[in-house]
Amino acid sequence: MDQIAFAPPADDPALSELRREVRAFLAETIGSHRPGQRIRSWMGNDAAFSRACGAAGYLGMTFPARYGGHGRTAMERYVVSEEMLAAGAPVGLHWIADRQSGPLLLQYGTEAQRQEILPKVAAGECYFCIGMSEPDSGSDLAAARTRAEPVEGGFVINGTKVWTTNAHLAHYMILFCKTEAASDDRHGGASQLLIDLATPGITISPIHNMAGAHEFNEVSFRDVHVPAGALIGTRGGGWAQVMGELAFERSGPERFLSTFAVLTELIHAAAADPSREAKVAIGRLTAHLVTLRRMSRSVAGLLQAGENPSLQATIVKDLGAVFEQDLPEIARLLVPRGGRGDGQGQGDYQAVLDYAVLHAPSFSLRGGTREILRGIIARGLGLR
Amino acid sequence: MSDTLLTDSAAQVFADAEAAARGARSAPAWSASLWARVEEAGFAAALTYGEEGITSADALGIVRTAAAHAAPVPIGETMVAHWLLAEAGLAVPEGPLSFAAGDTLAATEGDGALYVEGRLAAVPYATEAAGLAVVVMVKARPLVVHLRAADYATERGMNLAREPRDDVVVRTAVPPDRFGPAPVGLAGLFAIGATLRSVAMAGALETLLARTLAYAGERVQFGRPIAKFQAVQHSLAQIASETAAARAAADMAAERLTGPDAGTLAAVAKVRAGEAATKAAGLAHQVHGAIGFTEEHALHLYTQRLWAWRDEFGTEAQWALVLGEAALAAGASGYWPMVTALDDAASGAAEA
Ligand SMILES: Cc1cc2nc3c(=O)[nH]c(=O)nc-3n(C[C@H](O)[C@H](O)[C@H](O)COP(=O)(O)OP(=O)(O)OC[C@H]3O[C@@H](n4cnc5c(N)ncnc54)[C@H](O)[C@@H]3O)c2cc1C
Repeated sequence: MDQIAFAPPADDPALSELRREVRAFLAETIGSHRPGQRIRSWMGNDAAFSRACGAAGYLGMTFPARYGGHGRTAMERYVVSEEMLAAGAPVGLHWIADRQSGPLLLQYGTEAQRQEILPKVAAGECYFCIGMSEPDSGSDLAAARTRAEPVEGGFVINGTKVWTTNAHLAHYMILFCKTEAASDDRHGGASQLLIDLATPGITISPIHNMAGAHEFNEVSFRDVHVPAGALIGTRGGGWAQVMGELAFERSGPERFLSTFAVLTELIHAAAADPSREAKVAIGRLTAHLVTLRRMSRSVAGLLQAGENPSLQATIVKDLGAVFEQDLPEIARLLVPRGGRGDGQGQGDYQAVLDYAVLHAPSFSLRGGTREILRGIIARGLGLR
Repeated sequence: MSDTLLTDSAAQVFADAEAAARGARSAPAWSASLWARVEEAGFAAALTYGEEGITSADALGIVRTAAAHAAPVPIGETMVAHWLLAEAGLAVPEGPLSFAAGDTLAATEGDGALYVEGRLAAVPYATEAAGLAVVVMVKARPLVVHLRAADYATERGMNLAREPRDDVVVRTAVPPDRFGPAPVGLAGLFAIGATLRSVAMAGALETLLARTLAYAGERVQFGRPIAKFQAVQHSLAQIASETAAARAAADMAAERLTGPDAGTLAAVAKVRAGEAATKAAGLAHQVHGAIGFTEEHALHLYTQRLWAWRDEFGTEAQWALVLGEAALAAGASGYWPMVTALDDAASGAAEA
């Protein structure tokens, strides 16, 4: 089954040096963070930390130097990403820009867009949000109705985006919208635009999630004028581009490491007097984690080799979501919330467990639902 | 022999193995003629081809291919036995071999010979084997002992898939040219066995996936192939994901069959592949409907092996316990470094 093969990732001795550097950087910058902070991971926001990552050369790593990048490999970027996540670093502000918007602009953006934006992304000073979902267009992205009407010198945008993570904190949005007249091709007529969120006519309204946090938003566009230079890539070619973007969005270690602190806190909490049941459960989770990591590193290696591992990335995301949703359920039965044996730091275990339980439903929704991912795998198997 | 040559010739040698695996009802799965071809291909010694650039992962690719055809021969067992004997500096006999950890045997040295006595449980293909490589502890030192078929009696046993798993009763004096220092201890050998079974499960899963995909594409209900129903597609997607995970985990363990991380990686592989086996076998039967529940259909050749192999050389729970103990010993702060060291030779060396 070649199409689901995960080639062994190449061993590169330089990676361990980089890993040591990142660990030292993290010990220095966020060494004092409590587990309750760490569990937020790529939902945690800290502008000073983002700038520090930029200064250390940990952002825009694979961009060429002329765009402020560092010409590093996908595997090197992978090491930095996974170390950040495992440490629960507050990478939220720059995460989307570094992971997908920057690489998208590098691939499809105009020279002017690249020169203006990529250096700021690499410096950790420019944040992005993703404008795909709409009230009537979730899984069915092709049903998006937001329209950018081509006019003299640019576009006029009308429509509404929802669930837009960090729109209230971001400088830019990559907007997926219709620019062409309706046709029989459901996937035709769409484009991607680079939107400066300070443009008049854009209203960003908070939507609080069930954990009480303001992470996502509704973003409405009313007669928003943007210049012709806002177009990314080809007019009408937005569908293919957005599919490529989703491959970046789905392939990373954040798809199984976003609540890693639950596992380490569970180990901490169980260590005093571990039952056989606890050992077996932690061992099982470890087997899953080690395997997911191997598969995810393999995807990074395939990306580096210039291949298109979107099927493999989808498999990792689906298995990763199952793992992340199992984790708090297993933890809470082994070490009850508030029932930590050693009487110390109960707050830490409770804090990470509560966070994970409350956020678990989103793991198989954001970035594509479980059902949609399994549909993509089925297509990859030739069933559709 | 190059690694691709090895893969290609394994695909050839085992191409028709499935027919041989069927055999007679309630007879053990074993094919002497298939074994003759395996031997001719030079697979028995594959784990000792390191100098020719054949890695342990390449060699175990043969085991995976054999399992993908339900081959009724002890190819993995012979490879490991061959390697044990060669590493101990002993002559390697021809014919199928098997191996066992001899922790249930009493072994004492005297007058230059080694006296071995006791019973070994469920040794794969012991009745068919020309000999066994058994690791025993003598004065806290692991030794490889070469037992010839004449040295022991066997009592036939079989696993769920009717593969021979025979008890061995031995009471013999082994001369000095048939024992020597072992390259692994008892636990290390058990871990190698677990990796063999994980690799085999990955192979069987690949066939399970291919057959289930093919069947879903052919079987028509409600006017269309069942593969067109979304619920069935999602089952197939899950079989594919589980297969991919089992393969990734088994590959990792196969790459490090020996060495400091071998036990931990064997544990990862056995837990993950075992879990994949359970899920995928269940889903595959569901997709096949009643036809898959028949003796006539080939599906059970793979699902029964998967169910059997989960239990051999340690269940998922037994190996999860080992991993969990390692995780707890590493502690909250040492856990992530432990994880990264496993799949990263460079960082593993750096941490050590
Ligand atoms: C925490 C979080 C952050 C997010 N951030 C962003 C963001 O920054 N930008 C952005 O654009 N979007 C974002 N999203 C939106 C996300 O992409 C959508 O939630 C997702 O695509 C699903 O769309 P929906 O919620 O409208 O559900 P729907 O598409 O309405 O789906 C509802 C249910 O129906 C199922 N379903 C739908 N179609 C099918 C089908 N064909 N076959 C089988 N089942 C089907 C789904 O799997 C799901 O179970 C975010 C979502 C969450 C939860």
